[in-house]
Amino acid sequence: MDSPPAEEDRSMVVAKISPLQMVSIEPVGRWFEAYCLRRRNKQSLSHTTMTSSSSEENISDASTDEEDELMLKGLDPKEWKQQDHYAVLGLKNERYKATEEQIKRAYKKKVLKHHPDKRKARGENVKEGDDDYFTCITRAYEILGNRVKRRSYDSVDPQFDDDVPEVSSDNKDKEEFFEVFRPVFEANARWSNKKKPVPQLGDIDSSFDEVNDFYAFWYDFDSWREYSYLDEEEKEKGQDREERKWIERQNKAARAKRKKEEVTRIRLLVDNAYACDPRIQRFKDEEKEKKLAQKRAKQEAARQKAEEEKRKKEEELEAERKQKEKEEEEAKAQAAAAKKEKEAMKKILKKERKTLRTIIKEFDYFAADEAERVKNMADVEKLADMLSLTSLQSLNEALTSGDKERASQAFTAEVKELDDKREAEKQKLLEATKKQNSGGGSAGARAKQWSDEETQILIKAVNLFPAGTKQRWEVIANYINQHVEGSNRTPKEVLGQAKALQKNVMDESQKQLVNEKAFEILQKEKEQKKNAKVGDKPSERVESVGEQQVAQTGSNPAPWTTEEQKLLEQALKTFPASVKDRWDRIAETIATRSKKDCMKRYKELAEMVKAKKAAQAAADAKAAKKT
Amino acid sequence: MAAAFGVHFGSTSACLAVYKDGKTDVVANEAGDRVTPAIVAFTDHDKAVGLAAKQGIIRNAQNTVCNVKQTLGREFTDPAVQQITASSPVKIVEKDGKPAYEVEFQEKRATFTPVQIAELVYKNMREIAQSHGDGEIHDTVVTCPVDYNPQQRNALSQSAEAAGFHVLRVINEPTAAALAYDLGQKDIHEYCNVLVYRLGGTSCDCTVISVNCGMYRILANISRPDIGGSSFTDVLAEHFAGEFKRQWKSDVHENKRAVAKLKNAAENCKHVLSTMPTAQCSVESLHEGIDFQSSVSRARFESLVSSLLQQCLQPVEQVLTEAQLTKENIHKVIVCGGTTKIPALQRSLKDYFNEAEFLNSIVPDEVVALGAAKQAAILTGNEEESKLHEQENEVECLSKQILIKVLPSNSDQDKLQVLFPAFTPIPVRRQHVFDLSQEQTTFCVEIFEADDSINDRVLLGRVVMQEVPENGQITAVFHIRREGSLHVTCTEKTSGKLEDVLIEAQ
Repeated sequence: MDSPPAEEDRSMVVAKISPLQMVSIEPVGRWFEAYCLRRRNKQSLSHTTMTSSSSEENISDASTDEEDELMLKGLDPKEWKQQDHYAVLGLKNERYKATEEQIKRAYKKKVLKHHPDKRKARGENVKEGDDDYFTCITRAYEILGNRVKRRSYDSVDPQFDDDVPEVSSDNKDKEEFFEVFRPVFEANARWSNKKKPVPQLGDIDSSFDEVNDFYAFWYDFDSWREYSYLDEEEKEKGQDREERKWIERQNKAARAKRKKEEVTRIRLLVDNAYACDPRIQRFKDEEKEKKLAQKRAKQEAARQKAEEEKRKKEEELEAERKQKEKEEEEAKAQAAAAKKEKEAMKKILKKERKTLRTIIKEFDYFAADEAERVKNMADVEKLADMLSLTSLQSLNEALTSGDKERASQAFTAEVKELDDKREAEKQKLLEATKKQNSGGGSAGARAKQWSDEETQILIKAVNLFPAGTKQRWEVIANYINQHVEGSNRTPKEVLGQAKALQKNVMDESQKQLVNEKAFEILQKEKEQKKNAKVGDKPSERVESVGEQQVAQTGSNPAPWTTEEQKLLEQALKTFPASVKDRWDRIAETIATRSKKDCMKRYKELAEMVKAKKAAQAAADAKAAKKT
Repeated sequence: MAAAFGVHFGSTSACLAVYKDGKTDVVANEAGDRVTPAIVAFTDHDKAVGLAAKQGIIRNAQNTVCNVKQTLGREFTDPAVQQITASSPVKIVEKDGKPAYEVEFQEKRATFTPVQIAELVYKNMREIAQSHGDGEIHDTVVTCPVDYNPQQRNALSQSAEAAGFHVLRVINEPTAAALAYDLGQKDIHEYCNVLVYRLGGTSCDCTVISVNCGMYRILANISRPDIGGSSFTDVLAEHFAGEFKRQWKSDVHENKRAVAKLKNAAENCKHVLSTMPTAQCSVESLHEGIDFQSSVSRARFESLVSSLLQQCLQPVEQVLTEAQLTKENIHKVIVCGGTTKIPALQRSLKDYFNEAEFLNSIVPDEVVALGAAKQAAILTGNEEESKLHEQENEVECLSKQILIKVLPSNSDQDKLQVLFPAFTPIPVRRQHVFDLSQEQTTFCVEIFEADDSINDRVLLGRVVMQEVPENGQITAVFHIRREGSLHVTCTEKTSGKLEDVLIEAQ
């Protein structure tokens, strides 16, 4: 049991309390919520229901109570409109922030203290009725305790500073701007109709969006401020309906005017702030800079692209050019090589021919008499022209290898072989032409040859009775038999002829030609008939259309048929270029063509072959290039 | 005020509570049960939640998802998930790194993520809420175990939101239980340590909560996924199986369906035994067409599970060591979870904490949901403020306890009392009234600060009042302000004499 020592007879502080610690708490329960609410609103303990003992609340307020009382006593109840109602209730410092609860409590406190009955009990003198300052307290509560009335009073709170900072170079300063404008905006934020926190002015580092939001908010600021408190006359004072109406109109106009002024004021404030805001300037600059940079980047990119393209094009061109050159060179080299080879071959061939000739000459053409010599000489020439290089060489070898007898044998053998070969070819061709000619003729061998007239009628009949006609060929045969005198064709024959026609002769143009000629033939026939009537002499030979054509005009305009072509080719081979009047002979072999036709055809063919070769070469070159 | 809901989504069952007109109550489901099994079953043509799913589990085990709470919000590679995958009758596959249940639904293979399964359970809860006849907005607080990580909490809240609830907050289960008992809510000065003992179907949690100035702080938490009500059922089922074998010389274990049937029956018996002294167990055509009938007494059951009961107390000791408390420091014990209905378990807990107040007036498997509903009621209405940020859970607290000693002491003993325990959230205000005895003219109160042990206390300051009137009454107000300074004001009632000191914060 230690009793307090002497030096501890007075209150004292020895040490400091340990620092606080953040501790994780379960987020449950009403006290936790109350704590969070306090923390959010940054209120002290006394503002919440936490105050379990309210009697100790205003320890520090004690001193101000006396001042309040003096103030209250000095109030004139008639001048209530000019009075500061918050001050009357002792909430001078809370003002619009005071909660309804606070107002109620403050009022009750004042009533307890200043009620006339209480004062009378304390022996103070009290003025009668409405003259007493207590009416000011009730009036104050009347206004502040009513939400609507309180709002109208708050709207014209004399303590509120309506000033708007000017646009000046001072205010544009970075530091200055925030110092000047921030409190103004904070003060004006209280008029906001929106529940959510009003966006703050922020600081110099605020993002563009924040600043944007801020100005967007303030440019359409929705204020709840209204001016009914300043109404000149009270509506209730009006004597009758008209007068009350008039008063209301007056008040309304005055309110609207004030409201408009307020809107302009806020607008001016925001305009001024916007004009002074260093951040806006900065954003503008940044934007400009950005655009410029973008533009520059774009230009740069475009330039680079163009350059790149140009470079690429040049490269391509260069490559192409090189490729071309290379190709050309190659082609040149190839051509040169080919030429050289050809020349060499020609040379060899020439040489071989020469050797052949000289050898044969040496052997004196193996001839016994002059006629044989001439024949052999011609044979030698033929051999030299016709034989290929290799056979020529082998022949020469055979000729030189042995004595005259063996050489003669070899020579004759070779000549014979050549002749045989040509003969065989000729035979083959002849056979082929024969076969061709007998395409229709094979039938004709058994039956009679088809006359032109019959053919005409057949064609007509075929066209008349299209495929699908019942017993078509029988009908056609009957038709022919009826229309051609002396004809007796079986359906089988007709069918064969039609097929042959279709296969060989009757390509479309020829058909047309035949049709065209039909009239002519008819005329001729008529003439013939006339002649026949006179001379009664039947024609012996019916010429083919082509032959007629050749006979009449000296040339056959019809295109070359395959048979003709084959004949021509064979003829060309049979009569080499060295043969005199070659073309006459060729023309002879092809009955349907004239000499002129043949030459023309030959030229065409030569050209075709040339073109073909050129195309082939080009294709080869291409393929080579690809690989 | 609109109704506010609290949903407790456990691993075996879910429960919905509502706060309306100043009262909280559990809402029963369409079957009249106050607790719905948290089981989802997929069948050829439908999906079932709750009792229907539970009843089908014998036939449709591979398509019945239980215990989804364990996989919710976890990665597939999580060892816990791997363990469940190994033991679960439902196939669990990996999907985007998360586990997913592969089931046969409407004759097709389909995968469902745990979030989707939980959503189905919540949907069922929401249907119950709607049947309660309220508007469309369902402001809800959902609960989760203490050891859930933010990801899991997020998954839980997601699935509740997907089911149509408006989740105000996710709170821990033990705190919800403490809130259900209104600890520290009515009297802010209440200071106590609470042990929340939860024994559910498959897991056991022990949590120590310190209640101070109406705020809850979790001191320690132990989770044991190996202890649960199902072990009790298993023991009972084994007992029946043994009896069956003795009677019919035939082993039930040969038949999986029979085992499942027997387990179901055993579970029912267990529930009955919590309220009745004996329970009948009868299973028709249990095995080989034999009907099984037996009865078990509560005493028999208790003797069967005595080792399990011992095991159930292990986490309690663990959590006390972790919280560095002795069992005397625990002032209150709250039991929750369906398995704590077993009278023997409650008895053993009561025996263990013989000095603590035992709170079991609320049905254990509803207490968490009720607490959540209470929290929802607190939060309803202020939408913006209900959303918490992470760091907002942190509250400024005293780091040491503050003690006072009044001199001269009336009694013989050194009257040192705790004014503010350590970790008292500030600002805080406390008021003490001291009646002075006759012929006492001086009053002195000394303020100390101390760590855990009050013996190495440090004197902070003192308030001395001289020449106070006799028989006076002194009101001392201790106020710790926001910035952490302690302001002590002593006022004498009759003379109005005032004396104050300000002990500043460091």
